Amino acid sequence: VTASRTLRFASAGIDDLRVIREFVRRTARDLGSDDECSDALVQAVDESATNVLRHGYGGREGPLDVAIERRAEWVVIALRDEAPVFDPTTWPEPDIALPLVQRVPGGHGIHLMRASVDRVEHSADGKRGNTLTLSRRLSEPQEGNAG
Amino acid sequence: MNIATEHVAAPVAVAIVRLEGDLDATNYEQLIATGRELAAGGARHILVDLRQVPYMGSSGLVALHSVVLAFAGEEALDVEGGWGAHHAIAHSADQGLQNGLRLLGPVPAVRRALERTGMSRFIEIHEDEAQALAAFA
Repeated sequence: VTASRTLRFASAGIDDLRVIREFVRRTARDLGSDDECSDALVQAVDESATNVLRHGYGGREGPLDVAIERRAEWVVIALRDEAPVFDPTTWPEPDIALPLVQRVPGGHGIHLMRASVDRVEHSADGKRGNTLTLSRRLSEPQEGNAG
Repeated sequence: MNIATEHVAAPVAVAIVRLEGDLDATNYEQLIATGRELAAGGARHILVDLRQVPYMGSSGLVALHSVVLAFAGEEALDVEGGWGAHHAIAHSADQGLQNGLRLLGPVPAVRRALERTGMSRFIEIHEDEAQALAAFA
């Protein structure tokens, strides 16, 4: 099954997070995700979008696209923004097996984002604009509703 | 998000904070404010009812931690503190201060967020309200 949908904001703000989550949840389910997979995708996208809106745009509004598609047994979500380049895949990974006092400070939003999906990829051209691609394998083969 | 607070006296005095709705970057400060108010008012035990919270982002985790600190008499951390917030939780745990806060009934998605960030190691989670209240005694 191949299907994709895009939610496009000419100017997104922090108050749009709920709409983004609802879009991801509904679309992921339509594409064949079970509840756990949908929950994880919602968490990953919310944390990513929150970072863009709070830090990338510094609390101001800015363009944001969220595109979701199914590729074979994967659900793939691409977030595109025009914020300064930031690659969350290079952010230090905290070791939660260590005693907390020994952990390296960092962003737990990014940690949650990465822990919720199977693959995170970042690409950028120039000094502004990021594409963050989040991929999660479906829990088991399921039929999706194209559209 | 709606926040409702009620107080029970037995077996020990506990402030129950019932949340309804998603807890995210748009509203986590409401929970911090509620926790601070309760702490300032003399409350020593708080049970946060998460049963009606379908989603919690990392901002919500920081809010919970800030409530822990408020009840420990420490300054709540800014969300920018990132993993520094978790560092401070460990500090509180060393002092046994995290026992002032317990959580009730997180849905699976919220529970996974608590587990993935190590929060569930330092804040007790209960599924039954009566048992949660009794655990404060």
